[in-house]
Amino acid sequence: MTRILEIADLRVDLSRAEPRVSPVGPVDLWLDAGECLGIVGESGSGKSLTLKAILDLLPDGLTRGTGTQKIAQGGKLVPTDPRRLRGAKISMISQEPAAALDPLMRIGDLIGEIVRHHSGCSWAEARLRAVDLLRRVGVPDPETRARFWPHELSGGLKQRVVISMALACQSDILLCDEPTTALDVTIQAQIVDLLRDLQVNDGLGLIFVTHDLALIRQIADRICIMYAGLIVETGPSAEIFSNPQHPYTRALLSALPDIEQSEGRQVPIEGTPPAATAFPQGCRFAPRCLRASDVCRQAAPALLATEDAQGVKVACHHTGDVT
Amino acid sequence: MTDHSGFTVPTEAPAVRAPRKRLPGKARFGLAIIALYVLAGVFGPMLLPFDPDAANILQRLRPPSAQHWLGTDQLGRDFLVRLLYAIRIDLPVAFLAAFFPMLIGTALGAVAGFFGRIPDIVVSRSADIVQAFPVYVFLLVLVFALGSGATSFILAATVIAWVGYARLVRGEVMRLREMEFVAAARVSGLPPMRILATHVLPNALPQTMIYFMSDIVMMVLVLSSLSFLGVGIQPPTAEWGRMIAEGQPFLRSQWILSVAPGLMLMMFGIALSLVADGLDEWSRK
Repeated sequence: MTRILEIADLRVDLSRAEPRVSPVGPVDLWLDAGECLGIVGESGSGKSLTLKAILDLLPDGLTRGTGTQKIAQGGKLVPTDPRRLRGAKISMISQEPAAALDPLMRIGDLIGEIVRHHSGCSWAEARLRAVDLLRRVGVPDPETRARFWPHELSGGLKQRVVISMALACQSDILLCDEPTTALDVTIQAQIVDLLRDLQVNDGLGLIFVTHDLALIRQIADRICIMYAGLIVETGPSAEIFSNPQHPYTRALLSALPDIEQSEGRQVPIEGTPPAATAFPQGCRFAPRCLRASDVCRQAAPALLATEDAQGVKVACHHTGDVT
Repeated sequence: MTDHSGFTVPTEAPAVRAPRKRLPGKARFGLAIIALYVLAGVFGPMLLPFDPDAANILQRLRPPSAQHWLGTDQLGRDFLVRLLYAIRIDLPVAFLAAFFPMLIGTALGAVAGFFGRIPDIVVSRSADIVQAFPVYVFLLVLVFALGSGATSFILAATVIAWVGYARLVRGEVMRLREMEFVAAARVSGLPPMRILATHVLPNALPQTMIYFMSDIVMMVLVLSSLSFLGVGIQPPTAEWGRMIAEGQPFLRSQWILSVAPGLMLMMFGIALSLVADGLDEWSRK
């Protein structure tokens, strides 16, 4: 597999905070061509911010801290300015497809504009390419629908249009920020199928952010579990679901309703995640962790490979302890 | 195509279009009145066999008759032809006096709102300075300094009235800048000026147009007020405000000389307000 993205020490800082407050990071991420990386965490864990930081699209008041970001260019990994990656190498789709489409532009023009910007072709050709792209993402009757306004499309079709806009950039990587949350379940499955298809057949690399564990299990090859702005566990999807190491991952999975396990009940995680301004010293999960000891409250654990699970890295002082 | 539930979903779903939004009745009514004004201004003076500026002292202050439908004024000029001729002055001058500020104000407000920082400081502080003066006093001084006449009025209006547009557009652009579709355009790699021009500004346009409509009303009133005071359009050119002032001494005998231009102004104001109001409703639907 060829590595197409490598990020080290990614951090998101509050712009005017002294001393430094970092809601996210430092975080290390990488992605291979045609791979789907899932980032999972509860609300406020920093998963969406991580995604936005990759393209430096952070909201006002937050800035991207230092960190290197390398991207594949002609077979080599080259450090690149995040802003220059937009559209060229990395595209993004968001949770709210309705808001991602300019209400005053016909969808064919919306896609055509991007095609034109990236290829410099004529308007007529851009329109044809837009129709092709709409067909590629499974929009029925694309010739007619290219002349539609965004408000004339259903939620599922809107998300397809947003995906086709991302494809119009011909990027290698697609960042998906909970792209299915606003859609109902059957449409969700269709969109996931489409993304899978693009990943497998077109070799698109996906970074998929969600809090939906069932969904991520279905789509991701590799998973990062985030808690309070840090990755607490990462590894192959199958391994993490079958053999979770970090107490947080275990708690998360046991909070998941299981259709096969009739008598077991879901165990909630007590408490709420800490605010960025009040991250505890030591392990950030310690206050809610059942296994926390003195060392957890004093020193932050590093993300290290473990012998108990194949290819998995865990940030916990108690890895390998008997449960 | 089969989804996960095993049901077959129709792939060739019929492409059904939403019905088009219709402009509300009041806006159509307002537009009809404005169209009437324009037609009357263009063709009215041609159809009447009178020169609007040719005085005829022997015929002065005649009551309405078959020949002079609205009578004659204090210099014996046909009043109806002057009333209609004034449309050719008041409408275009007011339109331009609102149009140029719109162009400049929109451009400045858009840049200030979209880029923030130094452009924003420069534009916003300049707007503060202009707004620190009372509008009429500032306008009077400017027109006085530039000399009376249509051109200097438009120039003076541009210097002052851009502020309203700049503030409005700046606010709209700041709101739109944070919208998801602007972020989507950024993600697509489109350059900032392109995003501003094709995605942000068009969405700020409805509010700007509504303001533009009421600004034309404002400018017609300002123009006729200045002319009433003697610094706007100069006699003998027919202009409603000037005509109201000239008719004043004869209010008891020939009230129509002041009332008719007043009604013309009022109807025009109401028509444009109806259009603006209807447009507002339409853009919110």
